[in-house]
Amino acid sequence: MKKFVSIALVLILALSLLAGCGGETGGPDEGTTPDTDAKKVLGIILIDLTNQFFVDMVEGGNQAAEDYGVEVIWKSSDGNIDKQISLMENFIEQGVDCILVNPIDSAALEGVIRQASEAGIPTVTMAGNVDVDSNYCTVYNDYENTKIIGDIVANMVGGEGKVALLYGNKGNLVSDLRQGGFQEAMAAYPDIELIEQPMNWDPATGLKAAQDIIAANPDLKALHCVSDAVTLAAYQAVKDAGKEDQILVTSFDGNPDACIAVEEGQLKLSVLTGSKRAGYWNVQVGVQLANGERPDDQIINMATHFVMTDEMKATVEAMNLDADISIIGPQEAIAMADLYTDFEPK
Amino acid sequence: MKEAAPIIVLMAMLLILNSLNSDFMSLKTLLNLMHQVSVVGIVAMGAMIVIISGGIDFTAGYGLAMIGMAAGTVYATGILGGSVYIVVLVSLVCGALIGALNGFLITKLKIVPFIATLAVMSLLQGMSMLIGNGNMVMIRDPSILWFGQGRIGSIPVSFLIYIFFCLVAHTILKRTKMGVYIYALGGSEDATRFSGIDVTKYKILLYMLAGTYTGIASLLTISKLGLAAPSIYGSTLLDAIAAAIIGGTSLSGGKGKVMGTFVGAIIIVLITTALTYLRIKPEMQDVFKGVVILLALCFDVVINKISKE
Repeated sequence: MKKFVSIALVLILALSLLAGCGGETGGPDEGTTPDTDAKKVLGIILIDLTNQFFVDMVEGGNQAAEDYGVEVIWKSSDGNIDKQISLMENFIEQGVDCILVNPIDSAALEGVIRQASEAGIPTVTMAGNVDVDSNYCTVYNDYENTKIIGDIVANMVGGEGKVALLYGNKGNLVSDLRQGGFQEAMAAYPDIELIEQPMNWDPATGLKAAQDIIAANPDLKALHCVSDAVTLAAYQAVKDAGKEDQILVTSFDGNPDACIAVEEGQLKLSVLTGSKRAGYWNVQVGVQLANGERPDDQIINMATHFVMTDEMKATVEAMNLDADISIIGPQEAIAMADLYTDFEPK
Repeated sequence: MKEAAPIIVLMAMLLILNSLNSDFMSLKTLLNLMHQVSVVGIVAMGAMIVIISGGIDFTAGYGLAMIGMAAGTVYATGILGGSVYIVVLVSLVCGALIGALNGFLITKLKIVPFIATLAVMSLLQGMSMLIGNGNMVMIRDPSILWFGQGRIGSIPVSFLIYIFFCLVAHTILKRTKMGVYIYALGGSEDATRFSGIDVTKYKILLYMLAGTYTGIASLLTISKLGLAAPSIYGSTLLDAIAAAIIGGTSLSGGKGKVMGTFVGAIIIVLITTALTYLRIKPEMQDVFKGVVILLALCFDVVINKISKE
C-alpha cells in the first residue's frame, strides 16, 4: 500500500510539472532536440508566462518563427533569477543558435552571458542591457516613453496636485524602467505630489490599490499604471468612485482591449510597444544573429507608438513637448498589434 | 476571552488608524472595505473549514486563476451561449471538482493534505495558463459584472453574497451532522473513524465545499475586474489562510469560528488600506501582515498556556 502511495505521489508531481511546462512550448511542429535538421533554433527565456504581455510575445514570436522558418523554444523563469540562469545554462548545453532573454536582474546574468559568448552562441537581452561585449540588447524605449507620458499628464493637470502611479514590483526590470521614467518626469514639477503603489502585475491587486488611493486622496487628478491588463482593472475603481471626469487614466503596452478603452475615452492614452510585435521583432533580431549577421549597434530600438484619439493628439501637440513621438489612433493600433508591417522582412 | 482576541486587534487597529488620520473612519472607507473583503473572506471561509478538520488547502490561489480563466473562456467563446448562468455554473463546478480531486488524493491515496494540495496547486497553475492560451478575457456582460460591481443601495452585491456564504458556513458547522464531524476530525481523526463515521465521505465533502467557495470567489474576482487573466491569484491564498488564523482558527485543527474568520479577513484587508492612508512605503505591507499573523499566533499560544494552567 505504501509503495502504491509513493508511486502515485511521484506520478502526480510529475504530471503537475508537465502541466507547468505546458505553456512554454512553441509551435505545433517543434521538437525539443535541436540540430536534427538545418533549421536554426532560438532559445527564448521570458520572465513569466502568467502575464498577458509575455503570452502575446510568444504568439508574435511564433509567427516570426514561421515566417523565417526557424524553431523557437520558449521557457519561463517564473520570476526567479536562479531559474533564469539555469535555463540559460541548459540552452548553452543544448547548443542553440541564439539565446534571447528578458533579464530579471541584469548584473546576475553577466556570468552566464559570458559563458554563452565563449561557447560561440550570440545572445540578446530583451528590454535590459547586460554589459558583455558580444551581447545585443533590444529595447522598447520604456523609460523614455513613460517620461513623455509623465510630461503629458503633468501638463494636463496643470503642473500641480496629486498624481498616482501603479508600478509592477521593485526589482523587475520592465517595472523599474517604467517607474523610473515617470518619476523623472514628475521630479520636474515640484507642485505635483506623486503617490506610488505596486500592483505585482495582478489586476486584483491593482484594483484594490487604486480604490485605496482614490479613497485616501479625494483630490487625485491622474492615475498612470504601467501595464494595460492592470490599468483596465484599476479603471473600475475610478468608475466605481464616479470620478471618470476628475481622474485622468493613462496606460502602457497598447494591447487591443486597452486601445478600445482609449477609443471610448476611458483611458487617455497608452503606448503601443505591442507585446506580439515585441515577440515578432525579437525573434527577427534573433534570426539575424543566428544566421551570423552582426548589427553595428549593440542597442537596437524597436519602433513604438503613442495611442490616442485625434482630440487627445491635438491636445498633446499643443503642449510643444520636446520629444519626437509617433502618435496613432486606436483602430490603427489594434490593426498594428496583429500585423507586423513595422518590421519589413530582412 | 479567546474569541474576543481578533475583535480586540481590529478595534485597536481602528483606534490607532483613526488617531493618525482622521479621514480614515468614513462611510467611503467602510464601503470600500465591503467591496474588497468579499474575495479574501470567502476563500478564508473555505480555508477555515479545511483547517478545522485538521487539513490544509493550498489550491485556492491558483484555483482562483484557473477557475477564472475557465469561466472567462467559456464566456468569451460563447460555449452554451456564454450566458451568466453558464459562467456561474462553470465557476461552481470547477471549484467543486478541484475540491473533489483534493479530497480523493487525501482520503483514497492517503497523501498528506500539505503535499496533495501543493501538487494540485502546481497543476492548476499550469492549467490557468493553458486554458485559452493564457489570454486575458474582457467581460462586458452586465449581468456577470453585477456580482462584483453592482450595488444594492450603496452596499456592494459582492458583500451581500459574502455574508450569505458566511451564514451558510456557519449553518453547516453549527447545525448539521457534517459540521460536528468536521470539528471531530480535527480533534482526532482516529477517534472519529472508530465511532463509525464515514471519514472518507465527509473529508471529500469538506474539500469540495472549500473548492466551491474558491469557485464563488473566482466568479466575484473576474466580475469585479471586468476581466479574467492567469495572474489574478495575487496574494489571495496566503491572505485567506492568514485571515483564518488571525480569526482564531487553530492550525492543529478542531477549533475555529465563522465570526473569527470574518473579523480576520477584515483585518487582513485593512492592513494594506491603512498603509495607503498613512503613506507608509508599500514594500512594508508584507512586513506588517507578517507581524500581525505572528502576533495572532503568539496570542494563541499564550491563551492555550493560560487555559492549561
